[in-house]
Amino acid sequence: MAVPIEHSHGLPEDGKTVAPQFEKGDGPVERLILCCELGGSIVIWPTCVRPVSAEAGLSSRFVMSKSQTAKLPATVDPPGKRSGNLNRRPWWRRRIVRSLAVVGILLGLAWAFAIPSRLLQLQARRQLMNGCPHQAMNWLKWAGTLNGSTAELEFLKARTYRVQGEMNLARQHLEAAWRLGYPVEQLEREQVLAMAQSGQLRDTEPQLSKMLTDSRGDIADVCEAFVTGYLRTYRMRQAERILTAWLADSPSQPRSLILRAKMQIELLNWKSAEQDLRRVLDAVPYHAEAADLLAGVLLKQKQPDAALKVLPVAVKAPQTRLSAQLRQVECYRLQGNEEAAGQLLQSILIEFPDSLQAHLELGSVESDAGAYGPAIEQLETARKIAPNSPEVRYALAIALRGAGREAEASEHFEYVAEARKAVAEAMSLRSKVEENPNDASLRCHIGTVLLDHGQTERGLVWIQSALEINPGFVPAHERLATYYEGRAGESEEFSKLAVTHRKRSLTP
Amino acid sequence: MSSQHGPTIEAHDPKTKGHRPPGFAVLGLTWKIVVAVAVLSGCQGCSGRTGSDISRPEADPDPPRFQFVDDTEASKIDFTFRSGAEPSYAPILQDLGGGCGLLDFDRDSRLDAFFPGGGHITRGEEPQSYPHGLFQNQGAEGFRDVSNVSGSAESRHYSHGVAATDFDADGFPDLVVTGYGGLQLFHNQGDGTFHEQAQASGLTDGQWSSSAAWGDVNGDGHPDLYVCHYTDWSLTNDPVCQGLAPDRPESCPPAQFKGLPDTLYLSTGMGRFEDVSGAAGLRQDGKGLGVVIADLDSDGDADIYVANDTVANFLYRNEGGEPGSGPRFTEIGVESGVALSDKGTADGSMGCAVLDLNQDARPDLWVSNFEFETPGLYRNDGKLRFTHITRIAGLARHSSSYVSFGTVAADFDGDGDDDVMVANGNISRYPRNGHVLQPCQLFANLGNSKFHEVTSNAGACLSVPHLGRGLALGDIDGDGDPDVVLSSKDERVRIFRNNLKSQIQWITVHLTGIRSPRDGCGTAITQIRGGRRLTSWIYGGQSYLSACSPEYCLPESPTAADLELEILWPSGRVQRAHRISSKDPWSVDQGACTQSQDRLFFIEPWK
Repeated sequence: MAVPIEHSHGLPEDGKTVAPQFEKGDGPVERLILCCELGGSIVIWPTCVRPVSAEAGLSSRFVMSKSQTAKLPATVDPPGKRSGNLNRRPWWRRRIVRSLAVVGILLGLAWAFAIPSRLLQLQARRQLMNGCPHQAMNWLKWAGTLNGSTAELEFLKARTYRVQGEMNLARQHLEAAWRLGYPVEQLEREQVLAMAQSGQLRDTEPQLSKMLTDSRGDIADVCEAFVTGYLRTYRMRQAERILTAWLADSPSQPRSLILRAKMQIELLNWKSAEQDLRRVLDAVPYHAEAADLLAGVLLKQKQPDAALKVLPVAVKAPQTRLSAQLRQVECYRLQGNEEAAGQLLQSILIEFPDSLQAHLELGSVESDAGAYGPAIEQLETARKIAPNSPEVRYALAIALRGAGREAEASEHFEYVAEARKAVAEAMSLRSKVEENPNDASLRCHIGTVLLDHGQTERGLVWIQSALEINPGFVPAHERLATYYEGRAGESEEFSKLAVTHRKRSLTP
Repeated sequence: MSSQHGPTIEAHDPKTKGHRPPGFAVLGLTWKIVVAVAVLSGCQGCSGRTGSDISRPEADPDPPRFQFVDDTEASKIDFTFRSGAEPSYAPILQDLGGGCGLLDFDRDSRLDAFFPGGGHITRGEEPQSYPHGLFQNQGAEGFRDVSNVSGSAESRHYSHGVAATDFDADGFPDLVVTGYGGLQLFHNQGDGTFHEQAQASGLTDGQWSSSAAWGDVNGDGHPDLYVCHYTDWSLTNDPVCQGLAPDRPESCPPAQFKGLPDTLYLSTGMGRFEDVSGAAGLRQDGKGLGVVIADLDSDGDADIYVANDTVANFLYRNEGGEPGSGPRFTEIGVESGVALSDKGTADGSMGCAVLDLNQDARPDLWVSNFEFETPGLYRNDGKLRFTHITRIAGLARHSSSYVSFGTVAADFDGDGDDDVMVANGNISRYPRNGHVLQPCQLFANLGNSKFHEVTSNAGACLSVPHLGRGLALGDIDGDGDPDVVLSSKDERVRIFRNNLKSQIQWITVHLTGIRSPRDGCGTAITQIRGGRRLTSWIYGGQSYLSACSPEYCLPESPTAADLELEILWPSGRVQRAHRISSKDPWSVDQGACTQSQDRLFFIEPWK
């Protein structure tokens, strides 16, 4: 019943590849220290345990570190006690040994078929279904740690990153999945979902019907991607119709409820959003995003006490920690507890020193307390992060005015007045957009005004929607080129986008 | 739903308790969504305010010292503002509702009540008007409907608001009624009747007007008129906005319309008015719903504050102007800190009021706002610099889902500071978040620049939900303390009588201007006791579409002694009155002061 088990602790010190060597003992369990090289790249399995089979000898080349071999514990049992003495043991000891051997075999078989990894991937899928992509990613990372990279795993990682909105990472993992032989058709399908989710609906929308008919088990992903895309582009009716159909089929699925809550938030339907989010939290109490969103909805309804009760879940989760803590600040400020707000903001800034909102809020707290010097310091930092934000400029103006720096304050006040007026005028054009939904010029104008006055995300969506209608619309490309050129230093992606839009603006 | 089955919330939906195979679920959903997508692809396509007593009790976070009772039945006032709403048609015109006015039109020292009538509108047709209501206060016998006999019932437009003053200084208060299509000026002829003379007097404004305020902006002693205009809605600009369902129409939001410029009419003193909006420097935008005219920087002239819906509020600083050239204003709302919320965003502002929240003799501002916004409480730091202190005052958490309109500030409990009452009522017929009918709110001033909502402890009548709009302040029952009238949309008006159970004696102060406007509009009244000074103002405007009484309610403890009143008239004249104890008569340094029971009459001195 000797079942060789492989253990990998890292690369050999000398780096030389050696033939697989088995440390043989008399007992039923053999120990191996192995490093496994797969597909031309070394994969380190720190604690991998899987049965060594003929496949191991054929498809994998094993190396063993001499130093690691030297450090091995001798065996499970002292060799002298086991060798040739089985028949002399009591029956119950023999039964235990046999049972252990059976368990070992089963574990080995499980490893051979990567069952732990599959179980972890299944767990990840469940988390994705719950609308918890961050938790899903944690499971996937464990799966990768246990069984290494597989095409399926890479694909799932790509999907998870897509759901998180991390499109660059999603693309990288899709490429990895392709290299590992994942079906191209499925990868293309995922690509379409990524485009739809990011609001590029012009090219993807015609495929929606087909994708839903041929769901391939990912109908929820299809729904989610398109609904997210519609929400990003303020096409609420379309989003609502898909959601209605989806929820009619799965009325209690957290993933769909979260999306509907997001739509309700966009439509300012706080009560409906609150209901959906509470249902999600009833089912998945650790759902950080739901807790964070619910707190936001409660704060919109000026219910700081209720919001504070749901926030701890979101504060604990890394992905919602900053947002949740800022909501806690808002709660304290609504309660009139400026001191608590200030203290929390100080600690937030230690953890997240670049948080615009934290600088802004702390500046506002200081300003309200009459500490105009520290307030100006915080608000100037915020202004460096978001120079066009009317909110920042207004708070800064108030602090400057309080400090007696009237002339400087006046400049910011003027900017705010102009910005608010321009944005109000632009938003009053929304009814005209409803009348003429294909007016790219109007959409681009609204987007440009928003972009120019600190509402970056909304502005980009509006301009993008103009390009959805008319991909060659030069003013939209020009404005996007200018925007991305201004941020080209921040990332390669921005730099590429700047070049792309500039080219399109010059060659319509 | 394919192989990806996350946890579901079955407890909330018993119908889905797993009786359908997943395959069917997928198939069912697929077809539903395919159908939905197919459908999609096809479809793509001058009011008064109360003063205060210096001695005050300790701040109680929830003091049960307020007591209002609904006196509507006893008052015999039966009037309803009719918005003319139809189930299938929801123009924004119907959202504004109507206000109410308190004035003593017959000079019998009892406050009478006036209510604009509203109107009716059918799609594609000119709005029709409903008659106004005037109710004469007959003391213990309640009110008598004198609308028709007085000649004030006649309405020419779909009406909204009312502003009252004695514009021609004949001793009898007159009325201006605002609405869609024009203004009405009802001249009080002193014999219990009114004569409408808007056109003849030069009030030729034909735009959609909401609130109006009287105030002497050029210091000539004649009340001038500021008229707020709302949006450019018209029969030809009447978009259809979808509600929650096709059979549930909702009015389009104001953000979809352009704002109209307001108008300033300057009184010539001869019973005529002149539109000086352009020369005075008024802005060409705004969506005005509330206005006050008060000397906010205490420099001796009247400034103007306008509450705008969804756009920044205005503060017009009175620059004085050259003699004979008319007044000049500079709009400084944003830099003053009173135009926006603390986040620098424009609120949906409706009504406004002036109060002295911290007894520093500087007029502070209170603004009622849209749902899920906070009320705007702006502390006056001097030199027209204000600080938004809603959060610090503990008011941010009380706003909730109420759509606030009319608002008045007064010392309702006689504790020496200004409290605030707000009328609420939704504009949505099928609200997504709050309720259609909403109760009033009463905020008690705790004395340390903090407020606390005490609605639930101030009488059951305040907690009854209404479609509240207008709110007017005045001593209706003649007992000296401030009462309120609530005008709701499509509901009978309500009289909330202040039924304060305390040892406080109230004195109503009545002003008669000579060089200043007749009703004393613009006057500052300061109580001086024990070295402390508390200032209150008689000012133009206040609330929403409503006219408050220009009288001043002075609470006085019977044990209080050595009280001095300093009255600063808009003309610059100062009058001082003094008495040793509550049992002694008042002595006045100049001008006239007479006391009749619990009413104190001051006449502006000549010198």
